[in-house]
Amino acid sequence: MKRNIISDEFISQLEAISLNMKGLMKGYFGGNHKTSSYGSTVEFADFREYVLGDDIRRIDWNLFSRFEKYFIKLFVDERQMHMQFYLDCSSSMNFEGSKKSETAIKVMAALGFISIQNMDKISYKFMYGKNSIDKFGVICGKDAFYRSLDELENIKFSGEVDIDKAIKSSPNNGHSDGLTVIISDFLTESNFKSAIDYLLYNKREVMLVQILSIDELNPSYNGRNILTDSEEMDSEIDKSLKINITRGAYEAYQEAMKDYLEDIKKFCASRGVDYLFLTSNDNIEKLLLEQLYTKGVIK
Amino acid sequence: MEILLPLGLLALIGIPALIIIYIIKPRYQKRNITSTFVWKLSLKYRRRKMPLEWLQKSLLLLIQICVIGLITTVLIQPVTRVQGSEVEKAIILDVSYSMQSNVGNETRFDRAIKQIERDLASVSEKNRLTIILGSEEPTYLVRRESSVSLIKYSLLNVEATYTECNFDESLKLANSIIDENPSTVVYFYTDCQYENTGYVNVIDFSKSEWNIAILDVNKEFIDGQYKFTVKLGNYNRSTNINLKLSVNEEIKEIKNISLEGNEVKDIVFENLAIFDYKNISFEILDSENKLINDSLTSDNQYYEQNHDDILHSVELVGVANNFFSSALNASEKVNIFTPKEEKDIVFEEKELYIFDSYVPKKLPIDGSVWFINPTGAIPNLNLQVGGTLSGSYTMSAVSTNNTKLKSILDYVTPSTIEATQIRVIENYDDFDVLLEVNGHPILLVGEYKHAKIVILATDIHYTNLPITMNFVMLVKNLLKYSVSSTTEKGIYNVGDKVIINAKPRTEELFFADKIIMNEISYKETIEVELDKPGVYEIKQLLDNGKTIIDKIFVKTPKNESDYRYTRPFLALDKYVNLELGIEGTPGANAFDYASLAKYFAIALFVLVVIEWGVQYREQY
Repeated sequence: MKRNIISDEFISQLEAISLNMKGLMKGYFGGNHKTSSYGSTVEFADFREYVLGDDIRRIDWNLFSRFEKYFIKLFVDERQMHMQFYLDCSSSMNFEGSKKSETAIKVMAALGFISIQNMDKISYKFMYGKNSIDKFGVICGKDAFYRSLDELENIKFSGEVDIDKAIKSSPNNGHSDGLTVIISDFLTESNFKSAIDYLLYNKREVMLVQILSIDELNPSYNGRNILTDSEEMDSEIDKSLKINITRGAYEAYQEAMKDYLEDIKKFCASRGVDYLFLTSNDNIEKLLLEQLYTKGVIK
Repeated sequence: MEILLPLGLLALIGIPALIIIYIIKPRYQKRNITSTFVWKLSLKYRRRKMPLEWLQKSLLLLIQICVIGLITTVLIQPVTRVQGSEVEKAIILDVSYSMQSNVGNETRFDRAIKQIERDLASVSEKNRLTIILGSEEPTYLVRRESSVSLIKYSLLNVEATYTECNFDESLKLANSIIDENPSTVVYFYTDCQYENTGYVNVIDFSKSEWNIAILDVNKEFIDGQYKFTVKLGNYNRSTNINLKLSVNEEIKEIKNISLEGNEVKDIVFENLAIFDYKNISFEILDSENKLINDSLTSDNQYYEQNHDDILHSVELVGVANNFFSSALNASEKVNIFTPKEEKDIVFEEKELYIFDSYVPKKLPIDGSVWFINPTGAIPNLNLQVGGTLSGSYTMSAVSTNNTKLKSILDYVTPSTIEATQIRVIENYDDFDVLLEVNGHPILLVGEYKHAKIVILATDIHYTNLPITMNFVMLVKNLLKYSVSSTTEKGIYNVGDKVIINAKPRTEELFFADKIIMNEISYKETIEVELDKPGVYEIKQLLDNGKTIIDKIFVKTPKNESDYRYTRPFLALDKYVNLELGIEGTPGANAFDYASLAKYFAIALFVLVVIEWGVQYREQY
């Protein structure tokens, strides 16, 4: 196992955690998540009238004595969840010294482990440009998961990413079968909200994980600058900006950043989408678990 | 517009320099960041752009150019002519010594100041006042000033001097005011008399002051005796006085003299068996034989320390006595003592000791010392004396910046001095070398306990020195350097500077009871400015416990003592400036020079306020 990505201590913490799905989902393989269909678990779900062909062992005789009608007990069915990760692999995620990519991979590995631990299946999809690449296919079981960890470290970050198009163009986005986690800094002009609506339309649960560096939150530079975007190299659009960073400009930046983050938060709240905010300098292990517990994503 | 100092335009060179700096300076630096997305968003949050953004960008440059413009303006003094003051007054205030004449407790100068204070009542923006201090070097106290408080403040520190008034130069300053405003009325607040006052209004502030003065002393040497003629002047009052003559600090004669008001009389002192004297003094005394107390007191005495026949005492020990005796006698008046035997050598009471090819066991306790061809170690000195070197040597001078040392080789041509034998001197760091041969010092000067030491590291018999004029000139210069009088002369004028030559081994030197110096180097020149008439004492405490006292006398300017002295001419009847075509007709062509500097200053201030505003907007 790659110790660099998630440590043994963190894994031991993650082993006791399971994902808490809000909605009911469909699926074929048994798992730990409730579905909309009835199954054979011990957890009572409902009653219905007996029809020919039902197992007479399930008839509730107590109800028969009260209503003189045959009712049979229904029990909750639990199915396997398919958790899908979309990772923003643009240059801005791997900018020199920002550690955003490292944090993103850690988050992805940690959530992936929780899913695998809960007998779910996962998919890692890496967004490049307008496409997303599913390098490992569907990962089931711990062996496959650990093998995928080996590869995660070698992910390359380059160019710019259109999150909207990358997600929509991805085959097998699933339908009512689990959670989609989008990990990015969301410092993009791409209409990622449209992609989220698309996933929600497909009855997927969605979680956004936004990762920013300290320098993005509080720029440490000032004076007269020609700011060059890290994604500009691979872009046809001139993204550089000539600006005199005075105290006024700095405060405008802070205001813009605050409003932008607030807008994402509001959007997520309005769609019932979970939103996690991390900085690349945060203690991921602690912060991730705290935020996931707070938001009820894990139990 | 006129420019008063066109040379100041050179400061404008700063503007192109500034622009070049502005062009070449790095303005924006490239910086790679993760994303410009939020920065672009932030632009919407910035306030609306200034309508004159180009002005904002160039404001700093404009301010800098304006600063250079202001400096240039201050330098070149651009002015424009505007309507002048209606009535303007220029007062030449006589600050000469006679203005210190007092009656009661009030001097003439006090009265003149009071009059100026009264004049201030009429001073306003349109009635300006100029005050010129009429001293030897006249200056403006205030120039075309309208602020009464400033004029009053300026008057606080004004005092009468001890010199004469330079009327011509004072008038030139007044005329420059008339050049600017022909309606200016010139006043001269003085106590002097003039035959012709021209366009200058002379106000006489003399009152009932009276003065008796020693105007001059004439000295003659007739039939082996001194005869003195004292010119006494008595002004404004008839009086009886006693005139006392003292010779060598002892009273020689007192004469009772009656003088009418405004009488000048010659008093002769003769046949008093005065064959020689160190000093003489005359004092005007009252009937009680006390110094007379008239309106001007410094001219009531005269003192002279005789500098005519100073005899220098010299001890000459050695083998080349004849050469040195001749050269010394040709140079100064000297009394040469030549001991017959070694036991006769004295080590005190001489001004100069010359040891030729002989080194005593101890140094003299006073006077300067010359060592000619020292044959062994010199006591108390660190330098080492070695053996002799033979050959053919030509001397060369070693350059020095010290004028006192440089004067030792005046009229001496080192390249013509040749020697066949020289003495090796080493470890001579404490000495200054004036002559040398191939790096070997020949003529050295230094000191021991402030006594001047001169070393000539060659036997003059092995040089061509005695047969050339170089020798006489060198001895004369060295003698002047070694045994010069404390002061060059005994009588000075106010404003002169006296050069004090400290005696050898002087530990402390006082001038008029004030210590001047307690560590006197043989290279230093002590100079004191004499700004007040009177007798000054120069006291020197030697390290052998002896005290030498010299006195100098600073004369009162004769014309200041003479109340009746009438200056023949002051000014023309009418002021005419042919160059500008201006004639002094009151009320006509009156104009002022208005400085344009304030407009540059206002522009600078406005730009700075705008820049501040812009910076403020950027920050908040």
